[in-house]
Amino acid sequence: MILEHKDDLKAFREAVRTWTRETAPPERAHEWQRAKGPELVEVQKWWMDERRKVGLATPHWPVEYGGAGLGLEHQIIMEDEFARGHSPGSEMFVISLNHVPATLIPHGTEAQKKTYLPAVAAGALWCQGFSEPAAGSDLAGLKTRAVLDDDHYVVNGQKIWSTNSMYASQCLLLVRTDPAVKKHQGITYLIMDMDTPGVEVRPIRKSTGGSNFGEIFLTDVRIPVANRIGEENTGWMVSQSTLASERGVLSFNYAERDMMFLVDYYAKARHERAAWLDDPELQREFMTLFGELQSLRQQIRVLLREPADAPTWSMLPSLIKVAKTTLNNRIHSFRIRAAGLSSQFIDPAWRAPMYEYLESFGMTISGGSNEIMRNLIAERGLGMPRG
Amino acid sequence: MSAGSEMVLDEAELATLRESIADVLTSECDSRAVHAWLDRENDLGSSLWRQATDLGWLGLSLPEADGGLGLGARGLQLLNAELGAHAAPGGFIPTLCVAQWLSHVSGFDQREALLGAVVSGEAAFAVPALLEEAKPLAQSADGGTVSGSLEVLGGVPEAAGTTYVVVPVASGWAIVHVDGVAARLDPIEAWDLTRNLSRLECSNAPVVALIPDGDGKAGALLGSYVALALAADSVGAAKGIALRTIEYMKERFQFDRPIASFQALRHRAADLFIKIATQESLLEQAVQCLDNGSPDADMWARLAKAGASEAFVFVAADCIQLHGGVGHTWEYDPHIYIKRARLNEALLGSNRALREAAMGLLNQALDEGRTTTELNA
Repeated sequence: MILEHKDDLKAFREAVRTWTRETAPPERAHEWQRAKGPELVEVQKWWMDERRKVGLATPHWPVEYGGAGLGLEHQIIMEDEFARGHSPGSEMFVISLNHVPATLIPHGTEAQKKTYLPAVAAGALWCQGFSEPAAGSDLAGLKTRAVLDDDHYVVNGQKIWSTNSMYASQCLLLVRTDPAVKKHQGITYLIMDMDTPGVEVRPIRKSTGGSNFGEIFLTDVRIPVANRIGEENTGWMVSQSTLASERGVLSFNYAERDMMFLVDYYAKARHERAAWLDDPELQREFMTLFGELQSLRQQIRVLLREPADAPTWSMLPSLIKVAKTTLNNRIHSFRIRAAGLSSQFIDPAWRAPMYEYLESFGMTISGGSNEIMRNLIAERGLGMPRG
Repeated sequence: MSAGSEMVLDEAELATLRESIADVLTSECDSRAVHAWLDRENDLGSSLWRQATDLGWLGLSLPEADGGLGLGARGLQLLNAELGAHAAPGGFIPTLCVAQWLSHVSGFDQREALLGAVVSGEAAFAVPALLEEAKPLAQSADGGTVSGSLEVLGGVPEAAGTTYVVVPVASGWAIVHVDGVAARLDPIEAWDLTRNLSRLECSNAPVVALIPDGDGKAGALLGSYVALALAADSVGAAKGIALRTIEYMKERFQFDRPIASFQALRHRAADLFIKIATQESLLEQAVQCLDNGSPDADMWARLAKAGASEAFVFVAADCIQLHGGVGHTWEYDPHIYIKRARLNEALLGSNRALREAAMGLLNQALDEGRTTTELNA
């Protein structure tokens, strides 16, 4: 049992490593690396099921809600070992495993916690209905309307950029309950079952041709008042817990995988005597990117060491968000130029440069656009006044 | 060549030390003092050097056995970042780096005398300005003297005592004593008035000590210390001028508003800090590797210098523009920083050459089976 070793970090790491290697052997990595769309969903579900069997699905949850109460250091070890082992990712469960408990544990009713947390721990996939076509960076300007009708809210409106909404069973939904007050004060937070009549999900086709998020159309959707998280019109405050839940552990995992990928990419280029290795300009550019990726890993480690209850707001998360997303874009732009014409041929290989390059444009927007991040850095980090 | 060092202070103590250095520089080396120094109206250079001696800054990094505090690369980073933030004048980088280097190389017998003289403020060092590309000077048949000329960084007029220069020779590195006769330093007038550049002229100058360097590793280590110090100076200085610029933008009103409230400018200010944060962490990588004696320290130090000095140039140049018209006057601060940035960029070796050298070191590491990127989780 892996959790037996939780008090001895070294033994814990060893146990996670051994289990990861046996459960998802690196030799099979190409199977999950190549998966896209529904296939990727299956792979990640399988991986989460395997993790669950040994207590590694929700080990960071409090014990009373079915977790093992493990600390950040255990999460970091797990993510580190998963990355090193080239294991499947689990990003589709980010909302289920982080946002749902971070919202329900402080703000949910006992009944909600008893109903939903065990289901999430057992593999229920949740999505998030926050953004709207006219409320992106200006999230608080959302217009999806909920009107109280006896013991139900009747919801009409449209949500967008909802990751994995086509596969989700529940949705964390922000709705407007009072259009007359200031925009932050008229928002309510609801839990919506995705199979409620009136809910329609249409996948959005991305520039790569693939789809991992959708639009959610809501027509007279009836949501029980019992599904409200927190009081009516306190949804904005509740949503801050949702958005603050993931303290850099996922970024850590990504950056670790990105560095392994870049190191392998370079080793392969040398092995194959890639033409770009003879171009001093590309050599220098590669070393610059390589250096900045290592720097990002250092920055994320600093973020993980920051106390959760740091009294002052830090600009580090925003600095990291902009740095990592723009670096990602530059790395794949580099790979396209390094590969030349062949980069433009459709290639199903894992992390084909053009595919990753197109994907990287989603990252500079999602999770708070880089422009919003710059606002936060300027306002909260540097004390520059709002215009 | 491994350069591991003992770490004797914990994080809180390091922060206190950093603050104490910042406090001294804020009071002794503020913008007004530096401007007066540029106009030769004060003796900031020598008063700072004296302060640095009295406060033990010159020995921060050196091993305790040599009369230092044992802070190694961390000490170099900490002190030079603060000196850069305040655009402090003086030959700190060559003196600190050579001293640090001498404490880690072996095979010469003047260690105690030379390092003792550094800690007491009696000796200063100069290094080849383009250390990475320096050509060996001619040696006499018995190796006892060297002849030739060389552009160097350092040669500190403000230091009361003796100046030594590290000179490349065929078999390694010769330490030459600047006696004004056989070895002479002729100052070079340069744009950056906060640093000293000189031309060394040697005519059968006696060799005080010889650091043998058959495999080039000793020279590479000296280059790493200089790279790290330049990177730290660049990161600190970039942050320093960016913060001063933001303060200025909060006070400068146009259209009845502080220009700091304009989004086009706020985003640019944010971008400066995104760049600085990236280079600060790359520098951290180099510091950790040097202090751990990692075989990859030479690679990371060179990448850090290239990245940090480039970022410093970008930040300082943008700060000129963000100041508006006063940004390119003598009276305001940005010109001090852009000149320092351009010099940092040029020193040691071109950033192009440093990145190519780093790639060579990466290839070597990979051939030896190392990843170079290992970090504790």
